[in-house]
Amino acid sequence: MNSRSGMRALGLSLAAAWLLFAPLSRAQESSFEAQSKGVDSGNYNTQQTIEIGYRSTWIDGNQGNYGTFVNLNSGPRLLDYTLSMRSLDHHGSLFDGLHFSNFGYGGEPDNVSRMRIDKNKWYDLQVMFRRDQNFWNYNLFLNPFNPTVMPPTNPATNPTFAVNSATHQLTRQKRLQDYNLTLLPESRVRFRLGYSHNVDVGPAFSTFNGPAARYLLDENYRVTMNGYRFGVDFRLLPRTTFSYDQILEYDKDDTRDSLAFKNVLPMAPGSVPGPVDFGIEWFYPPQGATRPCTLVILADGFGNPNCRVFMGYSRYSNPRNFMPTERVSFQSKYFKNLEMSGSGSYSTSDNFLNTFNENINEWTASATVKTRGILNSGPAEAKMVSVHANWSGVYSLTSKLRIIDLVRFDNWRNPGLSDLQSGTLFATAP
Amino acid sequence: MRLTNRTRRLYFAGILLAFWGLIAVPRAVFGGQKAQEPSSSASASQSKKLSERTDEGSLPAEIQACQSCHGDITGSFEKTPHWKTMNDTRGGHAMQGCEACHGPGGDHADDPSKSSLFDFKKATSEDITERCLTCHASGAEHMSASNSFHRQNDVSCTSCHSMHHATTKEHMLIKAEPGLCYSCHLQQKAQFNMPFRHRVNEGLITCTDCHNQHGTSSVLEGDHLVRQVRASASGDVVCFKCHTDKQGPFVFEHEAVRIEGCAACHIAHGGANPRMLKYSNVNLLCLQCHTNSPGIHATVMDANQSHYEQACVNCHVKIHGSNFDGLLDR
Repeated sequence: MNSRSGMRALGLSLAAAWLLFAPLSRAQESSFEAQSKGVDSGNYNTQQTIEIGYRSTWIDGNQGNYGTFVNLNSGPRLLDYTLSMRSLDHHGSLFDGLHFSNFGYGGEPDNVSRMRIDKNKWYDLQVMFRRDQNFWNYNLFLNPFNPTVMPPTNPATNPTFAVNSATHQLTRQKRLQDYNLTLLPESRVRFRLGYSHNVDVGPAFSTFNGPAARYLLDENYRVTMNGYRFGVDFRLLPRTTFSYDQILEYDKDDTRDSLAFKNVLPMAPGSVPGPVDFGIEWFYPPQGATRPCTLVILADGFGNPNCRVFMGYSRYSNPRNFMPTERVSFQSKYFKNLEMSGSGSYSTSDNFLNTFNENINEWTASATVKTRGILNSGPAEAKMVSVHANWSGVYSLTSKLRIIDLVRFDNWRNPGLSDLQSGTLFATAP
Repeated sequence: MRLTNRTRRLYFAGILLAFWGLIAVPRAVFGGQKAQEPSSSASASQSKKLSERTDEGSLPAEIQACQSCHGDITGSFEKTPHWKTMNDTRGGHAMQGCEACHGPGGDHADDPSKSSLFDFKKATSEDITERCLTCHASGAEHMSASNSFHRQNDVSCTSCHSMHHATTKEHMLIKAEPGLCYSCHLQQKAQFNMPFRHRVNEGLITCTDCHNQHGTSSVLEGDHLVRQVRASASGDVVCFKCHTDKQGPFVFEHEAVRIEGCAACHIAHGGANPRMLKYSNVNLLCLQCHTNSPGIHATVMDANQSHYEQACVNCHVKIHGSNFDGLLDR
């Protein structure tokens, strides 16, 4: 962002802020005391704060490092906004209390909104939204396959193609939503409802360990979680609460990987249909291992068909996980000097895949490895069955001496099965 | 994706308008602004307001009695969630208002020199906790209060909460998170200032997102019971709440994740190493368990780890578990 446009944006932002919030400022500038008291409107006392600003950053040096560690960039920002409303007579029409707060909107990597609304005897609703922009391109994970001495011995036939980013670079965004509603919060039977929705999405680089070389993959990452909660509390005995919770969680993984085609060379007509990817370490002989390809570029300028190359690669699967959990718990101080609490839960997690599609289109002139084919596997299934129970008791002998006992039982098993099948097509030159 | 300046300005203008709407709508819906009553101080104004309602008969007599001497306290009490006790008549006066926490105040009202009330400033931490749990033990957050390591170490409710002088809008805390937690947990404060960290200082998450400060009971791995780490529904650590992709179950598990938990490899709060790992070199971390790696790894491990095989995860990318490959390659 150049400085002139930055200043213009700053000016516009300040002007817009002044126009929009000038009346509010006048109302609040009467006294600091009045500001803390808020404004009585109807049956509610209202307090609001807003903080806006412009962040100006001038970044020099390694942009990847800055993004990884700081990731704060230029632009106008909503730094903070809060709204609090409180019923004056504690008998509001829709709610007795409301608190709403936000920060980070306008381009910050972290944006959060929280809201809580309650009406004393009837409900208590809590809502939260969070978004996290996670950028990762840190030098320590820069492509370790790049040679330390560059270029190699013969630049004409073995040029250096450095991959100047982390092999697992990512620009990921996490969006988390949580909704919790308690009905009849002060009654002897209380109901709790909840919903959570998490999305983790964004492009990334990944690596694939091929038969003879490592290849960079473009990864379209997307994982989703939906959670539903239902609970009820019974307070029928004095100083004792029994609770039952039913929790349902659904997870989806729709991540797709495909060849990044990072180091691409044209191939001679009639040899291997191009373009082809030579991977990310073909130019560098690892110590103690065989070099994937000694001569990459032929005299005619085409890639060497005797090297191991990838013409295409893709991977996709859609695992679906369903995890229902039932839990009972109690807390009691029914007996004098004895306080107890305990819970027991049974959870089954069933991760199921209809199929796993991996398409490999690789060519090699090697006598031992000739792969050009497809790998399909599935179905696959993994389960986890967990049973947890615990009981704890605190017996107060005196005000200074207590006996505490805690008993726990944990049992889980993790059965799984997979039906792996693979086929190799065209095991010779096309 | 970077926004252009024009787009950014429009975006910001939209945000301003949206929040202007948030400001304007409550005024429009809930009526116009009343003129502020001139007052010499906030407490005086609040006391007056309370007095007015008492005259109308809406304020219970016992609070009125307390108000005569403790006007500033009763004024702030009206704004706190504890006001809800006034709506609950099942327990009688003993469970309402000031007496719900401080006990019967008749003697004290007759003769203020008598201190028969429960004094939170003089009470022991256990007595304070017990008194608060009289009402709060039933909540889901406090269900395992008997397991609380805070409680067992004489950290009482009033160490973090202030009934009459709270500084936060919610939960009546004496100080907002994470500063409140940092006031004791200095090591964790340092960890959250490390280069690679969970974004607690930035406000994205709070300490209590992962820890139940009031006590937990059902976390499976390691010493998380002591750390009061919240549990997921399946009894695992709470990390999977956000990091769902690591949860599994997988056809091919990485046993360390399942048995020891995330803390086997990661420093949960923050550290100097990328990915919040315990070691800066990934290979060294893996070698803590995989000391006898056969085949090519025998060569690789002896070789120069700084280049070719810098990180085991360059091949074993599905290090948290895989559905397809026992070597966790894909």
